[in-house]
This record gives sequence, structure tokens and C-alpha cells, in this order.
Amino acid sequence: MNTAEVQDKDYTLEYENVFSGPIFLLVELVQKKKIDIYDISLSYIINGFKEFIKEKSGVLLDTISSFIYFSSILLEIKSRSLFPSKKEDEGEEGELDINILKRREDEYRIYKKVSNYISSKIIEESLFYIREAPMEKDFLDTFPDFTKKIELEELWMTACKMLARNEFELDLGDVYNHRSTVNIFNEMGRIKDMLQSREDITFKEISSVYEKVMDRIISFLSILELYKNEEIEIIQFESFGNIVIKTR
Amino acid sequence: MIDKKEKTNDKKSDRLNLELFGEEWVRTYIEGILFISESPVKTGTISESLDVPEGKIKQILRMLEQEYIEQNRGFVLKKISGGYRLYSNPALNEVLQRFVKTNIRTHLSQAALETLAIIAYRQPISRTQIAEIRGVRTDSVVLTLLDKGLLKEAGKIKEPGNPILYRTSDRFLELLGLNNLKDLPPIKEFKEDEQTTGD
Repeated sequence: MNTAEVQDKDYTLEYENVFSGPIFLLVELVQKKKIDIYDISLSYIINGFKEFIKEKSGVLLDTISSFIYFSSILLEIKSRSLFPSKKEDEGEEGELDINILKRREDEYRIYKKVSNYISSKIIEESLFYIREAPMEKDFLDTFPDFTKKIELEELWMTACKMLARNEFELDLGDVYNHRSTVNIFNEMGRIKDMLQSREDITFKEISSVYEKVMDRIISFLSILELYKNEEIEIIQFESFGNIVIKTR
Repeated sequence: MIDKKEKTNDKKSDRLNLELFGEEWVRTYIEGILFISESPVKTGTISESLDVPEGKIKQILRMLEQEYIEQNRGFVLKKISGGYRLYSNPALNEVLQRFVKTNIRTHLSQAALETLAIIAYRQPISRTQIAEIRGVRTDSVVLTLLDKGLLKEAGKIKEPGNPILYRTSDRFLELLGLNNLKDLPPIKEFKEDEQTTGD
């Protein structure tokens, strides 16, 4: 190992007054709950590293991959902390730890072997040919006609629903270009205020005051946070359906 | 020929049964049904349409299965996905490939194979649960597998977001030449393999 390599590996994170040191140490401290993941802005850390590799030419691939590896652990811990997680996924400290990653790696290796088995079965089976043409016309009557009960109106409705889906397609890159006008704590307070005067409220109503997608995302994250703090109940009857929020 | 006509008339009167046909004719009818079917035929379905006990149908099917192999016929009978289906004799593979001029083998990417492997052993399972094992998102892979008819939806988890659960389809069993999911080797075998090879 030469000096340059050591220097590269020792890429030091400087994070306001919260932390200074290599990224693996930050991961360890977060896992041991010495540092709250909420106090860390991951975009700040990642941008810092991007600057570092831009300025310094010839950064070793090792350094970059180890940074990506550890920052992805932080990213996972943070995204998990946003959701109410299940007990079985938690380590002793209630956080994602290295053992879980190791267990997943082992599990993945087993399924990779299963996939080889499936592949060999498919090849084995491809030696057989089958009659795949549809049934001869004369015999079609013996089967029920599945299209019989479908009305033109139903087809029209289905087509409308499919086309309407385009509205949900967002340019995610564009979302981040607009800074949010609200913060999560104020938004949590606003939602709680709204729930004081009524029994339940929908996400649509809560977020309708916002124009920017980023503000709506903040609003949604606030709901998740309230749910995690067991302050509210969330009910959703169908996918993409209205999300109803109630006080506990 | 006259015999056959008589049987056809009987069919109309819904009085089809073993005594009336004689076993030889039951065999013939079964072969006819298998010949026109483009999916595995369940013994219960044959039994119902011929009004012959299912046990007898199974016995005849087993005989036919054996007979086709012994006589080295151009086709074989296989028990697949809970039913019976005629397949070409695998020894004809090369000739048939030239005949149909295309390779109709289903091509699946490594990602698709891994996803199928996980679903096969962990079903019903959601996309997030698959992603946790594979370490990457599997949304597009799952959609491709659904398109190919190898997966089907199996309800939703009752939690925020209502994630959809998936299971393997009958088409999956057909693709692997399995009669049912129990024919898959126990997952333990792959784990043991892992311990012995140590990689």
C-alpha cells in the first residue's frame, strides 16, 4: 500500500460541528446511536465527496467504492428511519447493522444458486416442443367467452384510467430544482392543528395548499413522521386511493 | 366406423361411460383430447367430459405415458402443472428446431432468473421484500415476468401503500417442466451446497 492510497482512504469528512473523520466511523457512530441520523444531511456529505474527487485527480477506485458502500448504508438507515419498521428487520439497537447486510448477502448467494438451477431446468425443458397454437375454431364454443360481458363504456373507462396515469409521471430531476417553502416540523404542527377541529382528513386536502411538488413531499414525510410517532392512523383502501389520516 | 357413430349419438344423450365405450375407446378419446389441447389437461376435466371415473383416466394416462416411450413415438406424454400434455420427443430436438426455424426457448436475463428464484421459494412476496434480498430495485423485472405470464398477483399486504404480493404461475411450472411447486428441490439443498463448497 503506497502513501497516496493511504491518503485516499483517509478521506476526511467535515460535517459542521457534528462530525469529523472517515465515513466508516460515521456509519459506526450512527449505528451505535452516538449520532442521530436526522442531524446528518446526506446530500451535503455526497456533494462534499463529489467536490473532493473533482478537485483531486487520480482518486483510487477503492476509495470511491468504499465511499459509495458506506454512504449507501447511511442512506438506507435514513430512509428506514422515515418508515415505521418491522421488529424482525431491526438489530439489537433497533438499527440496521452489518450483520443484517451479511445475512442478506448469504441469502442472496443461495438464491443465485437457485437461479442457476432454474436456468438449467429451462434449458432441459427446451428440448421439448409443445403445441402452442390456440384451439381450433370449431372447439372455441366449448369455452366461455370472457369478453362477453364487457361493455363499450367499461373499455372506455379503462382507457381513461390508463391515460390519466400520465399525470403522475414527474420529472424527478426537476423536483429538486425548487427549494421547499415549508419544513417538516411546521408541517407536522399544521396537520395536528387541522386534526383538532375534525375527526379525519385526506392527504389530498392537506397537500392541496401547495403548488410545489417538493412541498407536497415534505407534507407526506410529515405524515409518515406523525405515524411513526404513533400520533395518527393512516388508512388507504386501494392503491393510489385517498390516504385518510385520523388522530389516534 | 359404425361403432364410432353409435358412440357419437350416445355422447349427445350424455350417457358416456366406461361400459358403453370399452377401455379401447376411452383411450382413443383421451388421445383426441390431448391432441387438441394447447395447455395441460387435468384428469378431472377428462373424467367429467367422458363420464368415466378419474381413477380409470389416471390409469390409462399412465399406460399411454409408458407406451409412447416404449414405442419411441414422436411425442411423449408429460405430467405438468397439475395436468397432462403432449410434448415432442426430446430426441427430436435438433430436427424440430430446423423444422420450426426458430428457437422458441424463453430467454430470461440473470436478474429475471434471480427474481424468479426468490419468488418461487418465498411466495407470496412483495417487490420490496425481493429488493431487500437482491439489493436492487426489481420493479421492471417483475413487470417483465408478469408480461411473460410467469407471475401472478396474490393479494396485497394490509399496511400503508398496500404493496402487491406476487406468486409464480402455472406457466412457470410449465417452463420448468414441473408438476407442482413441491417438485422444486427443498431450499435446504442449496444451503447445504453452500456449506460444502464454502463459497
